[in-house]
Amino acid sequence: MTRVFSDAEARMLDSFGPPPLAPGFADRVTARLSADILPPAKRRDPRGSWRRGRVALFAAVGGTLLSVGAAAAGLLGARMQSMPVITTIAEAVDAPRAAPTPAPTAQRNGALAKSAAAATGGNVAAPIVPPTQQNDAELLADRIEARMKRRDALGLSVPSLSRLEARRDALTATGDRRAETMAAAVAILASRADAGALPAPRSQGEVNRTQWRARMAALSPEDRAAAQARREWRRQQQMAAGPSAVTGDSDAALVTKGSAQPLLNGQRLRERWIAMTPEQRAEWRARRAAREALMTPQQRQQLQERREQRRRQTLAPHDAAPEPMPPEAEVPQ
Amino acid sequence: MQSPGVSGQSDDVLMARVLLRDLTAFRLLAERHGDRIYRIAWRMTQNATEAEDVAQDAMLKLWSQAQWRAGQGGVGAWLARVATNACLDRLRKGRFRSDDDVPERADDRPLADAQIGQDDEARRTRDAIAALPDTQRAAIILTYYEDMPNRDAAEALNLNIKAFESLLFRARSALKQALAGLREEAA
Repeated sequence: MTRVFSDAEARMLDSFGPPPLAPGFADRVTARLSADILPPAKRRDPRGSWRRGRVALFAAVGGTLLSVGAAAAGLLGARMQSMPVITTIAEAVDAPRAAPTPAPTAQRNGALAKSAAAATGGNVAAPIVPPTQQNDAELLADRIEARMKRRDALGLSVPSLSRLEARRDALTATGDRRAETMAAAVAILASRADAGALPAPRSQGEVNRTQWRARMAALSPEDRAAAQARREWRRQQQMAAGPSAVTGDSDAALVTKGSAQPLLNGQRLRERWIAMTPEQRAEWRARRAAREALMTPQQRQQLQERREQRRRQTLAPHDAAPEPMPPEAEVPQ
Repeated sequence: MQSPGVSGQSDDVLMARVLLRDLTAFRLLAERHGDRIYRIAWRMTQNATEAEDVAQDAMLKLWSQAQWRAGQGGVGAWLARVATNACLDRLRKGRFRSDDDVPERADDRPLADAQIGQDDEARRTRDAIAALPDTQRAAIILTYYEDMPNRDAAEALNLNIKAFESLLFRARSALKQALAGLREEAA
């Protein structure tokens, strides 16, 4: 460092020294920290129980007075008349369902037409009911079909009819109130599939293979050979490792242990990482740093090598595109 | 009470232990860095009670923000930064918060009559430094008294390096001028 002050100036500046720090600074800080960590115990108010009892007493008396006043004014009777009781609900559940129930809109329109006809002596035209979307099942079938066509146009996977049937069975098995609507929609879709109106189903694996082939075609021959070799090597590693390999590694601790899925640590960690909030990421980084600080240099080097290997694999073209969410049948609420 | 081998650990390892809420490691960090942040705070505020208060606050902040600091290194520089900014905040507010007494300690200074000349010079120097604007004083304290590199001192004051060098140049010039005036008075 170059001298910026002369000797005389430096001597004057050096005379400006602080008094020594009082001994026991670390003890005082630690004591203050302990006091912050452990808040002082609350003193028990000897009148606490009486206060609580008094509050409960006033609440009970107030509630009683309100109830009595409301009953005297007749408010409760007027309000209760519109409230269903449990027997009414049970009867509604046990009653056999009418097979084809007209849509509520059609019912409402029909009732309006009847009342209008009665009022005007029958000189009113019939209500206009849309020919399509007569009921919820048709609406649902239309939405599923539109979604299938949209996914087909985008080159994504398209659910097969059997998959929709499985969805229907799942709803039925769980007693879901949408099961009937779903069953009717599946029947409609089956008739449309027979008529050739639905796009052909396409599995996710087929989509992945298509994308893989497209990526391979875009690569140079050397890169293509290297990518295929990496894919083959990964496949062998996964087959050799099996599910039990998804334990032990410090980073892999984030992956659910005992998972029966093949080893895909990098992809799972990336998905987990994407789903984290910034605070969780910072905490994860700090914990990783803390773990590494306690490691021996050899362990740290091994971990670094593993991490570098994963990073290289990430930068290379993947043999499988990240799977989009499976198309779920939508049922109107 | 102290964990075996902990006292020889680096700051990073101690920070990792602090992250795991090890009070012994925290105490060691306080012993290592307490003096320095106290010196900075005292030279900024020229008040021993306030300086210790600032130093304790900085250490408590280290504890509470351990999850952000662990693994990033530079604990000492970070503490200096926290202490400097705390002092600047307090000086900006124009009042000191602490009413506590200075902790008891033995007075190990030489007899006062033997030090009259030196004390007078020290008092004048102290006044000259106190007369500097707060940020210029901080720049002098960090670079001259604490031997911090310009880059670290600039980070401590939340300035870029060019702005800090400009500030430091102005601070040195003002201080040189003040010291020259003191020497002329003494002569």
